[in-house]
Amino acid sequence: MWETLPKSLSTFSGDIDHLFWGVTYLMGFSYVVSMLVIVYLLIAFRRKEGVKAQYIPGESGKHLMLIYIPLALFVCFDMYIDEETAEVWHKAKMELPAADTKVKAVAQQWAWTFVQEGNIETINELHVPAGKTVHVAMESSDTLHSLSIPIFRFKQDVIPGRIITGWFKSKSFTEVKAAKDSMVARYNNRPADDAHALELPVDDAGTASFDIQCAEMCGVGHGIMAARIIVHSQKSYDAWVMAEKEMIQEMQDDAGSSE
Amino acid sequence: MAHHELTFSEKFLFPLDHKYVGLQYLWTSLFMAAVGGFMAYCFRMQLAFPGESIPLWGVVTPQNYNAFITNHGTIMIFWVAMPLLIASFGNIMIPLMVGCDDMVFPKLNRLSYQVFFVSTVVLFASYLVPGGGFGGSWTTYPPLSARAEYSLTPLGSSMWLGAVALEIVAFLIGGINFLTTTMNARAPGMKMLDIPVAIWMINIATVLFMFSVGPLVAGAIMLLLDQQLGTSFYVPSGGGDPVLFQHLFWFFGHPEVYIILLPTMGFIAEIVTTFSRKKLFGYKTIIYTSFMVGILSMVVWAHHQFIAGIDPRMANIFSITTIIISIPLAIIFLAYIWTLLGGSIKFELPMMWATAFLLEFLIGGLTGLFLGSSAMDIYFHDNTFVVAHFHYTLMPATFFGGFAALYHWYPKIFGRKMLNGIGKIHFWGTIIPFNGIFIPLFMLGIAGQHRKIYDYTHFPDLMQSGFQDLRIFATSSLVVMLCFQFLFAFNFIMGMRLGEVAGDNPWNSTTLEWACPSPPPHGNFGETLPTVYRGPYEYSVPGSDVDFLPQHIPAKA
Repeated sequence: MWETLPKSLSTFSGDIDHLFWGVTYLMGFSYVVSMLVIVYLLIAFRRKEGVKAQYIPGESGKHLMLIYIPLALFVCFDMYIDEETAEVWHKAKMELPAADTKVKAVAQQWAWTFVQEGNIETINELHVPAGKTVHVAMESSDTLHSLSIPIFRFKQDVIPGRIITGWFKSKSFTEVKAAKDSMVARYNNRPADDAHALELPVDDAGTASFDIQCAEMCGVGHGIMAARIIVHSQKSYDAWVMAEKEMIQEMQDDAGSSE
Repeated sequence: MAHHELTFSEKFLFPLDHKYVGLQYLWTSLFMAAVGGFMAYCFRMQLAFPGESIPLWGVVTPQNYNAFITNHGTIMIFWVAMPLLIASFGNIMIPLMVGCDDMVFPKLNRLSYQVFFVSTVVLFASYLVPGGGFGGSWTTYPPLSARAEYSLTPLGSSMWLGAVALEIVAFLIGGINFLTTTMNARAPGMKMLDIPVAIWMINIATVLFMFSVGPLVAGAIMLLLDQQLGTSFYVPSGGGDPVLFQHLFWFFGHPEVYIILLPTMGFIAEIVTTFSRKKLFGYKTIIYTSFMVGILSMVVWAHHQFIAGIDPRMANIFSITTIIISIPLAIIFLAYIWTLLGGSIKFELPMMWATAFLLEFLIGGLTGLFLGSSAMDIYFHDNTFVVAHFHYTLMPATFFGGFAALYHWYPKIFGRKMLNGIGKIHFWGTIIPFNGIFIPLFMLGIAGQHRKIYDYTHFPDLMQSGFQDLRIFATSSLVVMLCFQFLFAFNFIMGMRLGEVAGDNPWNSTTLEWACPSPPPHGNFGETLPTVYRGPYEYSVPGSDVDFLPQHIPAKA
């Protein structure tokens, strides 16, 4: 019943989470203090027989300090948020570290096509090696879409007519696999009467899979535009690429021989 | 000036009297709130029980679902919040609170509602055309909204756009009246800084609306041409740019949030002062800070587009302006809190709603700082955290503030108070389930649930144990909250017959609307208009034997 952030599995997701918790504490503090003050005032100054309200215009310097002193504290909170934000934003969205692997992501109503190096095409499945910097070049063939990978805290709107390059680098495969195992453990430990939980897709050895969402309204099928990201260990990734390449080769050979 | 008795048609069909125009807006907005609430019921039921036939509707198809979420947003903003807070209270209260007999241009006022009525009809008609109602979300981003082959609603999208355009026309016409009446028709003696905060706020909101709506109208015309004539203003294959529309839309869309918030802030000022018998803390500070909110609200729009393909360097600037807007709002908020200091607070229904507004809106305001930060917005963009955030701002602003104002001015409008006991049940029956709806949405958003999805069963990570329970909890809370609104409808109608007779000034308040009879006759103040001798919030003045000095009563010699 008490949900929190999902596992944090890219190199910048931890920074976003850190900012989130920092702001949660500051805003939680602001809320609790304001609420206590309001409730105190409401109780302390409730109507009592024979007690007249005071006359406080709140225009004098002394009274305005009641506004400006708490405000100064809040401005400090604001400055913290601005500064941290600029730093994290810079890391996640303004830097583009050199790529180890490049993938093209083509969105259309209502599916994702991912094209790897070597022209390996997959539909609704994005295969990436763990611990490697991946560049994703996103384009759309019809409306707006948005490539969202919650586990990496990655999200970017995809715009027809443009190619937008984003990046992410997952943590090491051991960490990714451990995170996935804990998700599966939680799933297996669900209450016996939980009829709503759905089967998690089963991972092959050497892979861990998570949701990819389309996060921008893209028409009637927006709600079913789901995909999975499959994070491979290096060994598993190499094997997968090899198998795909062989398959492409076979298909080309077949096509050649039938002519 | 003699004022004759009004006929039925002059009162209810084609009224010129500002109070009856205001009532037309009030009835329409309450009706539309019921429609918007029903849509919320339908799509929340689909999320809790995907694919099942739901009572009062049936199976919610993806087309239904998208049309419901789109029109729920559109209706609640354009056909409930704006007509309720600005048009109905603006029309009824401005002439009463500035002390004149009617709006400066009564015929424009009548035209304003008539255009609004047509816009409502067009909106409903858009569901009945082939293809059904528009389902591209209330932000109506192209190219989805620009091409029928993408949206699959060839007529629905254009009629939706037409309805919104007509609504905007209605508000522009009405706005002319609000500004001219406040500036030119104030009672003798009422200086600028004697105007009650509610009236200031409605006028600031109107000016903000007039400044910001132009780009949206231009954007909407281009979108209409894209839809119907196949032009390519926003379609990249013809050389257009989809992101341009987002800028034009949010240039209006973000000030719109403050257009809705500011009038409520004004109503809350009237209510908090009246029920705590206190002068408003820092009247001038509040007025000047509100100007700053208005100006700042026009330079924050791109925070809706951090990850929409704008230059990432620009995101830094908009992130900073967005965070800065928390400062003037904090000032206004603190001023309201300190108004309670040293008061003599009585918990009548309007004050209960005002308190609820302060405490609930604060959650909405503070969660805004998460989303104003571009870095966190990478994760929270188009996520149900955003949904929970803006419902914590807009629902207190529209409904809690709206209920506060209705309970406060109902005795003035109808001559009787609403029933107290039913009012209290309705209060708790609304506030508690309200939190029950949106706290789960905060949690699901933090856990990664994206919005505008009609069926989460396609996303295994969002169907883990516990997630669906939260969705069912939120939906159940919504159903409970909606059921309690029948009590309000009952109270609103029966209060006119059974309520306690109010008298001219039931709350012992100081502003001018309480100087005329309840309900005010045609012409409001009779033969002579009141003269104003002092500011609007002279409660508990030292040396006075009563605890309030109305604006229109001369000081004793």
